Amino acid sequence: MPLHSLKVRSVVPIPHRRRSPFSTGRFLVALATTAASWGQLALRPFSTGKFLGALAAVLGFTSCQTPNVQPFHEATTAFNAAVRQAYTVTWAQLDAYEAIDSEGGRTSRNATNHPAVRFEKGWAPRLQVMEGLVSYSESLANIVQSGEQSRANAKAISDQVLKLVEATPWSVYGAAANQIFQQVHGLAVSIAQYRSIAKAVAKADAAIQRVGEALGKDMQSVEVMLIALHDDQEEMLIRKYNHHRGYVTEVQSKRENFERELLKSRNATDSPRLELLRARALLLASTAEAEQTEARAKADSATKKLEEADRNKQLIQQALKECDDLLARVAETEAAYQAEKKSVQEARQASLELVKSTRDALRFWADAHTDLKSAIEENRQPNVQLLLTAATEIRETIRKLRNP
Amino acid sequence: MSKNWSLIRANNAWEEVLAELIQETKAAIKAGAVERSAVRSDLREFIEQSPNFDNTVPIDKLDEIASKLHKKLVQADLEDELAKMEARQPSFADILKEIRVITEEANDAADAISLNRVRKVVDSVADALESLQQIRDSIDKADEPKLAKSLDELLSAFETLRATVKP
Repeated sequence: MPLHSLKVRSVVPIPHRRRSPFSTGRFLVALATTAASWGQLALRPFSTGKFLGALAAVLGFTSCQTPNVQPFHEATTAFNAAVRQAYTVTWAQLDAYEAIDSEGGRTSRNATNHPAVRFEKGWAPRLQVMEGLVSYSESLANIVQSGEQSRANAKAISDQVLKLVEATPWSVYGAAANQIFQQVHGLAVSIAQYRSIAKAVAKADAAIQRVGEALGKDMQSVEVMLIALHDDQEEMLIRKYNHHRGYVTEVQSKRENFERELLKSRNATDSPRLELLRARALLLASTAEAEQTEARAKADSATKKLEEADRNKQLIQQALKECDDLLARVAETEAAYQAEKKSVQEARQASLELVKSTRDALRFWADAHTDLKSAIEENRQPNVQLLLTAATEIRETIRKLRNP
Repeated sequence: MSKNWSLIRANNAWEEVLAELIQETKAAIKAGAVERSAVRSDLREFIEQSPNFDNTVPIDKLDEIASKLHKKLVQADLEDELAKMEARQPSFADILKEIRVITEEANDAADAISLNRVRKVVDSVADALESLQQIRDSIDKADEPKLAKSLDELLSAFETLRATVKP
């Protein structure tokens, strides 16, 4: 740019009219307007009308508070991680899945119609959208953070402006001008932040709601797929141990029958025991020969029944022991089966928990964005409690999934 | 849908139960994920509960059939859900475009609020005016009349501005 094309006014838009005396107030207002104009993202040549408008804006919006968008940004980052994790978990299952075609024949893993290939292709735009949303939430956070940077720059700018001013006879206003510039700049930045966030949030809300809805439906699909894939894993595990399990089930079934017989046999001793007790009591109480004989006969009969019941009980206990011995012989295999089963079930539970908490969190996240929009309109801070809880839950679920 | 496996075992009714499961699988494939999940659960129970060493019924064969039915139901769920996800694909592409535009605007706003651009301009103007004065001081009017004239005009404009606003 040639030196002579530089215009002082484009940088320091000082209002002036020929023959009108410059006043301290006018100069300070000029600085205020400059700040407001910068804050409103406009580097336009100054005009009195715009200056008054900007000043009115400064005064009118001094009560605007910049909404706290940091929790929304952090939650979006957590959801991005959750959606990625849901993808990773589902993809890993699909990758190992032995797909079949409509005829029941095996589908090659590299075939375009293999579920893993289709899923991978379909999920890529979802992950891009999540990345886009993280960038969006980051841009909101950037607007808030830009205030800090702005304050630092404002100081440097006002120093530079004063350097220019020092060369003129207005130097007497320098210190006051600097102070006013900083103050008005602060207001201008708040307004600009508020307006920029309000504009971005209002524009994005419809898209956010659509993402929330579409990803919510995706999570339902992922849940159905994960349930099916985990079922497939469980079925493979059952087939792997099929003969062993058939054996164990058979023995356990027999054992249950013997347990029932043992109970019956124990119950069968109640009546002869009572008979024996009554007969013994009669023997002790009676002196008559006939009664003594009858009591002895009853006692003998009850004793025989008890001996019979005891023999049955021994038989049953022997059978139970045999069952236990049979089960003990395959205990090692059974332990291996139970361990694998536990591992499959835990993986199933953790991945479904992740999908569920992601789905819930997506709903809270979309609602929180709408609340952010309303909060800006109503000039209040957004309610982020549910969002923070959801984000914490998600982080915990992911941690559990990664370190079971 | 859940079955009484003890009774089935007692009656050795594995073939009959599998015949039922075949019909239930056909119906579930046309139905939905909930029905498929329930039938899959019964099929797994069937494979696990059926006594493989019992010579009266060729259980391994029955288990193999049950396993294939199970696979068909798994595949049906995957196919359905992948198709639903693929149908939702275009909306994600549209949303991505929209979000990128909004993000770019918001980042521009953040950049503008931070006054980085303004600071650059102010810095350069301040430097430029300083340099301008230095250059003008070092120029001999006779040697560089055109340049000296331009610089004089520019500095004069600044002087006029100063004079205009003098209290």
